[in-house]
Amino acid sequence: MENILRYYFDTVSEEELAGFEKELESIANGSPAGDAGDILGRAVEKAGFRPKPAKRRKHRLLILIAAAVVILATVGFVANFNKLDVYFGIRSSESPFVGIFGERGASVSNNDLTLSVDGAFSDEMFSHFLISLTAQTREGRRTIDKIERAYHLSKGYATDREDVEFFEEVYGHIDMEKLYNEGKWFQTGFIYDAGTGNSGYTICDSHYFGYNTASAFYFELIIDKTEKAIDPSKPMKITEAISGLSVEADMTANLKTVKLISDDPAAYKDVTISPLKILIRSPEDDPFAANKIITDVPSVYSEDDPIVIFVHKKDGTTVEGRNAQSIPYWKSEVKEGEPDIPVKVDSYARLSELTMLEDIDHVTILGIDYRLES
Amino acid sequence: MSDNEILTLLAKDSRRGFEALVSAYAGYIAVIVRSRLGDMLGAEEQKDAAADIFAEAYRALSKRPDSPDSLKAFLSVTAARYCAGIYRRKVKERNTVPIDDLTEQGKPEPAFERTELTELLKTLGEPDCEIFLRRYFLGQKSAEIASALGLTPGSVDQRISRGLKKLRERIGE
Repeated sequence: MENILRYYFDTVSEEELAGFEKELESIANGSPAGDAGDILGRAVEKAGFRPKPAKRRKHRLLILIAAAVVILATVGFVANFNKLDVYFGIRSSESPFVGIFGERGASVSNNDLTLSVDGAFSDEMFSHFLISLTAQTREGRRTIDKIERAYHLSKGYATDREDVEFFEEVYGHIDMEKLYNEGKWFQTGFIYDAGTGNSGYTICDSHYFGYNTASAFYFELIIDKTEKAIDPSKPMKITEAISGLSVEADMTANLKTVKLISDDPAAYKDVTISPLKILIRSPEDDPFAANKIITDVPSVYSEDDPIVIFVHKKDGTTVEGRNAQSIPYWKSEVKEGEPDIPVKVDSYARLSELTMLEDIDHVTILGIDYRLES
Repeated sequence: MSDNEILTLLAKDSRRGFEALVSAYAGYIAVIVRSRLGDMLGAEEQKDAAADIFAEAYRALSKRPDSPDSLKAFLSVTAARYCAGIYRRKVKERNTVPIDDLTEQGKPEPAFERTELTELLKTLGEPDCEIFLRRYFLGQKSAEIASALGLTPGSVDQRISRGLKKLRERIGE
C-alpha cells in the first residue's frame, strides 16, 4: 500500500492535489517564512527578471568603478609609453585619403611637423584605422623602431630576438597572423612621415603597414583619450607654430602633390618634399650604412610586390635595394629641458651588396632615374 | 494576498505578480524542498532549488491559456516534479536506486483507480489525511510531521499504520 501511495503522489496531478486544498493550506500556513527573501531574490533572477533599480544602480556603480580603473590603467600605460602623441583619422568612404597627424609639443624645435599621408591607396587597402605615431622622445622613437623591427621579425626579416622581447614587453604578445586575418594588417602601401629636421633637409620617412598595424593595436587602448579625431573628408592643414610653415595636402593625390604653403618664401628653403633627394651613406658617415641606401624616397614595403631600388654602378652592374626600415638620428647631447627627439629619421634600403658612393652612377626608384647630387 | 489577486497581478504586472507569488509561497515551497531533498541538498542548494521551482512555475504559468484553479496545487505539483527529477538524478549519481523509488522508472502502474484513492484519502479525516500527505507527498519523517501537527512521533506512526490498513481494506489490495 505504501508503494501505491508513493506512486500516487509522485504522479499526482494538479487537479488531484487540488482535492487536498485544506491539507495543503495547513502545510503552507505552518511553513517557516525564513529564507523567503533569499529565495525571492534568486527566483527573480532565475525567472529572467532584471535586477531591481537599486541593484542596477549598484551594478552601474561597479561598472563605473571598473571603467575608472581601466581608464586609470590606460592613462598609466600611456603615461609610461614614452609620451607618444597620437592623433587618428578614420577612413571616410568619401575620400581615398586617410591622414593621421602626429605633432610634437610647442616647445620643440623645428623638428616638429609630422605629416602622414597615404600615397596611393585604393579603397580595398583600408578597412580599419590607419595610424601613425610620432614620438617625442628618443625612447618613444626607439619604441616605434622596435615595433617596426618586430614586424620584420614576424615576417622573417629580422633576426634580433631582443627586438621581439622588447616588443612583447611593451605590447604584450600580438599575434601578427591574427591581425592580418582580421584585416588589420595592410599588405601594401605606405605612409609618409614627413617633416623638417634639424639637419636642414627634409625627412620624408615611410612606415610600413605592419608598423601602423601594431600601432593600431596600441592606439585602440587610448582612442578615447585623444579626442582629436580628424575628419578625413576635409582637407588637412597643419600649421606649425614655430616655423610658420603650413602644409596642405591634396586629399586625392599622393605625396608628390603636397603643396607647401607659407607666407614666408624662406620657409621653402629647407623644405622639399619630393622623392628627389637620395642620400647614400658611406661607412665613414655611418657604420650602419655600409651596405644601405638611405633615402627620403617613399620606400614601400610589400611582401608581394616590393618596391625595389636599383643602384646602377659605373661598371654597368646593378645592385638591388629593398626597403628595410627607418633609422632615427639623435642628438649626441640633450640639454636639460630640451626635448629628446630624433634630429631626423631616414628610411633605408638594404642593398644586396656593399656599394660605395663613388661607384654609383645613378639610382632608379619607381621607374625614375636619379643622379646623385655631388 | 489571495491566489486570485496574485494571478491578476501576474497578468497585469508580471514582475510584481511574480514577487507576490514567491512571497506568498516561498515558505511552502521551501518545506517541500526540504522534506523531499533535505537529505541530499545543503541549505543553499535548497534555496536554489526553491528559486528554480518558482522560475519553472512562472514559465509554465506564462504558457498556460488558463489560470490554475489552485495556485497551491499547481505549485505543489511543480515542486514535486522538480524534486523528483533532482532526486532521481542524485540517486543515479550515487548509482543506487532504491526499489521503492522506481515509481516512474518502468514500474507498472498498480491496479487501482486514482479517483478512488483520492476520495479514500479524503475519508481518512483530519489529521490523518494531512499526515498521509506530509508523509507520502512531502516525504516528511514522523518526527517532522509530529512537530508540525503537535503530536508525538509514535502517534503519527500509529495513525499512518491504521490509515494504511483502512486504505488496504477499502481498495481490496
